Amino acid sequence: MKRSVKLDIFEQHDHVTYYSFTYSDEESCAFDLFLDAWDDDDHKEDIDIILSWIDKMGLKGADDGMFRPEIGDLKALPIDTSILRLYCFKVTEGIVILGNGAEKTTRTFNEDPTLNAHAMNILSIGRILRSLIKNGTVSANNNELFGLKKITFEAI
Amino acid sequence: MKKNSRLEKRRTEISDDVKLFVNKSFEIVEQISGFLNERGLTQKDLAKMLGKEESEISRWLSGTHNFTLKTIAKLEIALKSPLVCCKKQPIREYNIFISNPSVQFVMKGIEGNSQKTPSSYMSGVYISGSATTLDPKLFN
Repeated sequence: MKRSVKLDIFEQHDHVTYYSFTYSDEESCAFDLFLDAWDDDDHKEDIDIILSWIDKMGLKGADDGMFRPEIGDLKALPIDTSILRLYCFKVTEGIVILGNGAEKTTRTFNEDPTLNAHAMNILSIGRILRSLIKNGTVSANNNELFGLKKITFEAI
Repeated sequence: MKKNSRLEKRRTEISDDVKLFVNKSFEIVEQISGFLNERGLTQKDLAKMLGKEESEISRWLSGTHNFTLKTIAKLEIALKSPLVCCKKQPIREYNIFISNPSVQFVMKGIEGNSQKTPSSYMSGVYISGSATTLDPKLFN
Protein backbone atom coordinates (compact mmCIF):
# COMPACT_ATOMS: atom_id res chain seq x y z
CA MET A 1 0.00 0.00 0.00
CA LYS A 2 1.44 3.37 -1.01
CA ARG A 3 1.59 5.92 1.81
CA SER A 4 2.99 9.42 2.01
CA VAL A 5 4.79 11.07 4.87
CA LYS A 6 5.92 14.56 5.68
CA LEU A 7 9.17 14.99 7.61
CA ASP A 8 9.41 17.76 10.16
CA ILE A 9 11.96 18.84 12.72
CA PHE A 10 10.99 17.37 16.07
CA GLU A 11 13.79 18.90 18.13
CA GLN A 12 17.14 20.55 17.60
CA HIS A 13 20.14 19.87 19.79
CA ASP A 14 23.72 21.18 19.63
CA HIS A 15 24.96 18.42 17.34
CA VAL A 16 21.87 16.56 16.19
CA THR A 17 18.56 17.60 14.66
CA TYR A 18 15.85 15.06 15.29
CA TYR A 19 13.14 14.68 12.66
CA SER A 20 9.99 12.63 12.77
CA PHE A 21 7.45 11.84 10.07
CA THR A 22 3.67 12.13 9.88
CA TYR A 23 1.59 9.96 7.57
CA SER A 24 -0.75 12.00 5.38
CA ASP A 25 -3.76 10.25 6.93
CA GLU A 26 -2.62 10.81 10.54
CA GLU A 27 -2.34 13.84 12.76
CA SER A 28 0.53 12.93 15.06
CA CYS A 29 4.08 12.18 14.03
CA ALA A 30 5.54 8.71 14.52
CA PHE A 31 7.54 9.65 17.62
CA ASP A 32 4.51 11.26 19.27
CA LEU A 33 2.55 8.09 18.53
CA PHE A 34 5.33 6.10 20.19
CA LEU A 35 5.16 8.28 23.30
CA ASP A 36 1.34 8.11 23.29
CA ALA A 37 1.52 4.33 23.29
CA TRP A 38 4.39 3.66 25.68
CA ASP A 39 4.93 6.58 28.04
CA ASP A 40 3.02 5.06 30.93
CA ASP A 41 3.83 3.92 34.48
CA ASP A 42 5.04 0.49 33.32
CA HIS A 43 7.53 1.98 30.87
CA LYS A 44 8.53 5.18 32.66
CA GLU A 45 12.13 4.08 33.14
CA ASP A 46 12.47 2.97 29.50
CA ILE A 47 11.18 6.29 28.26
CA ASP A 48 13.43 8.10 30.78
CA ILE A 49 16.40 6.23 29.31
CA ILE A 50 15.36 6.93 25.72
CA LEU A 51 14.94 10.65 26.40
CA SER A 52 18.21 10.86 28.34
CA TRP A 53 19.95 9.07 25.50
CA ILE A 54 18.43 11.43 22.92
CA ASP A 55 19.79 14.34 24.96
CA LYS A 56 23.21 12.73 25.33
CA MET A 57 23.41 11.98 21.62
CA GLY A 58 22.26 15.52 20.88
CA LEU A 59 25.31 16.80 22.72
CA LYS A 60 27.82 14.39 21.19
CA GLY A 61 26.54 13.62 17.68
CA ALA A 62 24.85 10.50 16.39
CA ASP A 63 27.74 8.10 16.37
CA ASP A 64 26.89 4.58 15.19
CA GLY A 65 28.01 3.27 18.55
CA MET A 66 25.25 5.17 20.31
CA PHE A 67 22.47 3.05 18.83
CA ARG A 68 21.42 -0.53 18.93
CA PRO A 69 22.40 -1.75 15.46
CA GLU A 70 19.60 -3.20 13.31
CA ILE A 71 19.95 -3.09 9.51
CA GLY A 72 22.41 -0.56 8.07
CA ASP A 73 21.26 2.89 9.09
CA LEU A 74 18.12 1.51 10.73
CA LYS A 75 18.88 1.79 14.44
CA ALA A 76 17.03 1.37 17.69
CA LEU A 77 16.96 2.83 21.19
CA PRO A 78 17.30 1.99 24.02
CA ILE A 79 20.32 -0.19 23.80
CA ASP A 80 20.35 -3.10 26.16
CA THR A 81 18.17 -2.39 29.12
CA SER A 82 14.70 -3.04 27.85
CA ILE A 83 12.56 -4.91 25.37
CA LEU A 84 11.05 -1.62 24.22
CA ARG A 85 12.42 -0.53 20.86
CA LEU A 86 12.24 2.91 19.32
CA TYR A 87 13.25 2.72 15.67
CA CYS A 88 15.40 5.48 14.25
CA PHE A 89 17.13 6.15 10.96
CA LYS A 90 20.51 7.80 11.02
CA VAL A 91 20.73 10.09 7.99
CA THR A 92 24.02 11.70 9.02
CA GLU A 93 25.85 12.16 12.34
CA GLY A 94 23.79 15.33 12.73
CA ILE A 95 20.39 14.19 11.43
CA VAL A 96 18.34 11.39 12.94
CA ILE A 97 14.74 10.43 12.16
CA LEU A 98 12.78 9.23 15.18
CA GLY A 99 10.09 6.73 14.26
CA ASN A 100 7.68 4.54 16.13
CA GLY A 101 8.31 1.32 18.02
CA ALA A 102 6.96 -1.27 20.40
CA GLU A 103 8.07 -4.02 22.76
CA LYS A 104 10.14 -6.71 21.09
CA THR A 105 8.85 -10.03 22.30
CA THR A 106 10.01 -12.15 19.38
CA ARG A 107 13.55 -13.21 18.52
CA THR A 108 13.68 -10.89 15.50
CA PHE A 109 11.51 -7.87 14.75
CA ASN A 110 10.41 -9.48 11.47
CA GLU A 111 8.48 -12.09 13.42
CA ASP A 112 6.20 -9.43 14.93
CA PRO A 113 3.97 -7.74 12.31
CA THR A 114 3.66 -4.46 14.26
CA LEU A 115 7.34 -4.18 15.02
CA ASN A 116 8.21 -5.23 11.48
CA ALA A 117 5.99 -2.48 10.07
CA HIS A 118 7.55 0.18 12.32
CA ALA A 119 11.07 -0.95 11.45
CA MET A 120 10.64 -1.50 7.71
CA ASN A 121 8.61 1.66 7.10
CA ILE A 122 11.20 3.96 8.66
CA LEU A 123 13.90 2.05 6.80
CA SER A 124 12.05 2.66 3.49
CA ILE A 125 11.55 6.35 4.32
CA GLY A 126 15.22 6.70 5.25
CA ARG A 127 16.42 4.97 2.11
CA ILE A 128 14.27 7.18 -0.13
CA LEU A 129 15.53 10.26 1.73
CA ARG A 130 19.08 9.06 1.25
CA SER A 131 18.49 8.70 -2.51
CA LEU A 132 16.94 12.20 -2.65
CA ILE A 133 20.05 13.58 -0.96
CA LYS A 134 22.25 11.65 -3.35
CA ASN A 135 20.48 12.98 -6.48
CA GLY A 136 20.49 16.54 -5.13
CA THR A 137 16.71 16.94 -4.65
CA VAL A 138 17.28 17.32 -0.91
CA SER A 139 20.34 18.82 0.74
CA ALA A 140 21.56 18.14 4.25
CA ASN A 141 23.48 21.15 5.55
CA ASN A 142 24.21 22.21 9.11
CA ASN A 143 22.18 19.33 10.51
CA GLU A 144 19.08 20.37 8.55
CA LEU A 145 17.31 19.03 5.50
CA PHE A 146 16.41 21.46 2.72
CA GLY A 147 14.16 20.94 -0.29
CA LEU A 148 12.21 18.14 1.33
CA LYS A 149 8.51 17.94 0.51
CA LYS A 150 6.93 14.57 1.03
CA ILE A 151 8.04 11.01 0.63
CA THR A 152 5.76 8.39 -0.88
CA PHE A 153 6.71 4.79 -0.37
CA GLU A 154 5.38 1.26 -0.34
CA ALA A 155 4.37 0.86 3.30
CA ILE A 156 3.83 -2.35 5.21
CA MET B 1 17.01 25.89 18.40
CA LYS B 2 13.61 24.29 18.16
CA LYS B 3 12.52 22.39 21.26
CA ASN B 4 9.49 20.16 21.58
CA SER B 5 7.19 21.31 24.38
CA ARG B 6 6.02 17.77 25.15
CA LEU B 7 9.61 16.54 25.55
CA GLU B 8 10.60 19.60 27.54
CA LYS B 9 7.83 18.87 30.04
CA ARG B 10 8.58 15.14 30.08
CA ARG B 11 12.28 15.78 30.71
CA THR B 12 11.46 17.32 34.07
CA GLU B 13 10.08 13.91 35.13
CA ILE B 14 13.21 11.92 34.27
CA SER B 15 14.49 10.36 37.46
CA ASP B 16 17.94 11.34 38.70
CA ASP B 17 19.07 7.71 38.84
CA VAL B 18 18.31 7.24 35.13
CA LYS B 19 20.23 10.40 34.26
CA LEU B 20 23.17 9.14 36.30
CA PHE B 21 22.87 5.64 34.78
CA VAL B 22 23.00 7.03 31.25
CA ASN B 23 25.94 9.30 32.09
CA LYS B 24 27.88 6.50 33.78
CA SER B 25 27.16 4.06 30.95
CA PHE B 26 28.38 6.59 28.48
CA GLU B 27 31.54 7.30 30.48
CA ILE B 28 32.38 3.61 30.82
CA VAL B 29 31.89 3.01 27.10
CA GLU B 30 34.03 6.04 26.26
CA GLN B 31 36.76 4.79 28.58
CA ILE B 32 36.72 1.30 27.07
CA SER B 33 36.83 2.73 23.55
CA GLY B 34 39.65 5.06 24.59
CA PHE B 35 41.74 2.23 26.06
CA LEU B 36 41.16 0.13 22.94
CA ASN B 37 42.27 3.01 20.70
CA GLU B 38 45.32 3.71 22.86
CA ARG B 39 46.45 0.13 22.55
CA GLY B 40 45.52 -0.26 18.91
CA LEU B 41 43.03 -2.98 19.78
CA THR B 42 39.70 -3.67 18.09
CA GLN B 43 36.39 -4.89 19.49
CA LYS B 44 37.30 -8.23 17.92
CA ASP B 45 40.54 -8.35 19.96
CA LEU B 46 38.63 -7.55 23.14
CA ALA B 47 36.06 -10.23 22.34
CA LYS B 48 38.91 -12.75 21.95
CA MET B 49 40.51 -11.67 25.24
CA LEU B 50 37.22 -12.13 27.06
CA GLY B 51 36.14 -15.28 25.23
CA LYS B 52 33.00 -13.54 23.93
CA GLU B 53 31.35 -13.06 20.56
CA GLU B 54 32.26 -9.80 18.83
CA SER B 55 28.55 -8.99 18.55
CA GLU B 56 28.26 -9.08 22.34
CA ILE B 57 31.17 -6.66 22.77
CA SER B 58 29.65 -4.43 20.11
CA ARG B 59 26.40 -4.37 22.09
CA TRP B 60 28.31 -3.56 25.29
CA LEU B 61 29.97 -0.65 23.56
CA SER B 62 26.72 0.61 22.08
CA GLY B 63 25.72 2.58 25.14
CA THR B 64 23.23 1.68 27.81
CA HIS B 65 24.45 -1.83 28.60
CA ASN B 66 23.79 -2.65 32.21
CA PHE B 67 27.35 -3.70 33.16
CA THR B 68 27.65 -5.96 36.17
CA LEU B 69 30.60 -5.56 38.52
CA LYS B 70 31.80 -8.96 37.34
CA THR B 71 31.87 -7.79 33.72
CA ILE B 72 33.64 -4.59 34.73
CA ALA B 73 36.24 -6.63 36.64
CA LYS B 74 36.85 -8.81 33.57
CA LEU B 75 37.14 -5.74 31.36
CA GLU B 76 39.56 -4.07 33.77
CA ILE B 77 41.78 -7.16 33.74
CA ALA B 78 41.64 -7.47 29.96
CA LEU B 79 42.36 -3.77 29.44
CA LYS B 80 44.84 -3.64 32.35
CA SER B 81 43.19 -0.37 33.35
CA PRO B 82 40.64 0.65 35.96
CA LEU B 83 37.23 1.58 34.57
CA VAL B 84 35.40 2.33 37.78
CA CYS B 85 37.18 3.92 40.71
CA CYS B 86 35.70 4.24 44.17
CA LYS B 87 36.97 7.47 45.63
CA LYS B 88 38.42 6.96 49.08
CA GLN B 89 37.61 9.72 51.54
CA PRO B 90 40.85 11.25 52.82
CA ILE B 91 41.55 10.63 56.51
CA ARG B 92 42.66 13.76 58.32
CA GLU B 93 44.00 14.24 61.77
CA TYR B 94 42.35 16.75 64.02
CA ASN B 95 43.87 18.35 67.07
CA ILE B 96 41.43 18.85 69.90
CA PHE B 97 42.37 21.15 72.70
CA ILE B 98 40.55 20.99 75.97
CA SER B 99 40.98 24.12 78.08
CA ASN B 100 40.06 22.60 81.41
CA PRO B 101 41.57 20.17 82.15
CA SER B 102 44.40 21.09 79.82
CA VAL B 103 44.80 17.91 77.81
CA GLN B 104 45.66 17.55 74.16
CA PHE B 105 44.93 14.49 72.04
CA VAL B 106 44.42 13.62 68.40
CA MET B 107 41.35 12.20 66.73
CA LYS B 108 40.89 10.94 63.21
CA GLY B 109 37.95 12.03 61.17
CA ILE B 110 36.77 11.93 57.60
CA GLU B 111 36.93 15.17 55.72
CA GLY B 112 33.61 16.65 54.86
CA ASN B 113 31.62 14.47 57.24
CA SER B 114 31.32 16.70 60.23
CA GLN B 115 28.82 15.80 62.85
CA LYS B 116 27.54 18.02 65.57
CA THR B 117 28.52 17.07 69.05
CA PRO B 118 26.07 17.63 71.90
CA SER B 119 26.79 21.02 73.39
CA SER B 120 27.03 19.56 76.93
CA TYR B 121 30.23 17.83 75.84
CA MET B 122 31.49 20.88 74.09
CA SER B 123 31.74 23.39 76.91
CA GLY B 124 35.30 24.50 77.19
CA VAL B 125 36.32 22.38 74.20
CA TYR B 126 37.75 23.90 71.05
CA ILE B 127 37.96 21.66 68.03
CA SER B 128 40.09 22.50 65.04
CA GLY B 129 38.49 20.85 62.02
CA SER B 130 35.61 18.44 62.08
CA ALA B 131 35.29 14.79 62.98
CA THR B 132 32.91 12.04 62.01
CA THR B 133 32.15 11.10 65.58
CA LEU B 134 33.26 12.37 68.93
CA ASP B 135 33.26 9.90 71.73
CA PRO B 136 31.55 11.46 74.82
CA LYS B 137 33.85 9.38 77.04
CA LEU B 138 36.74 11.52 75.88
CA PHE B 139 35.21 14.51 77.57
CA ASN B 140 34.25 12.96 80.89
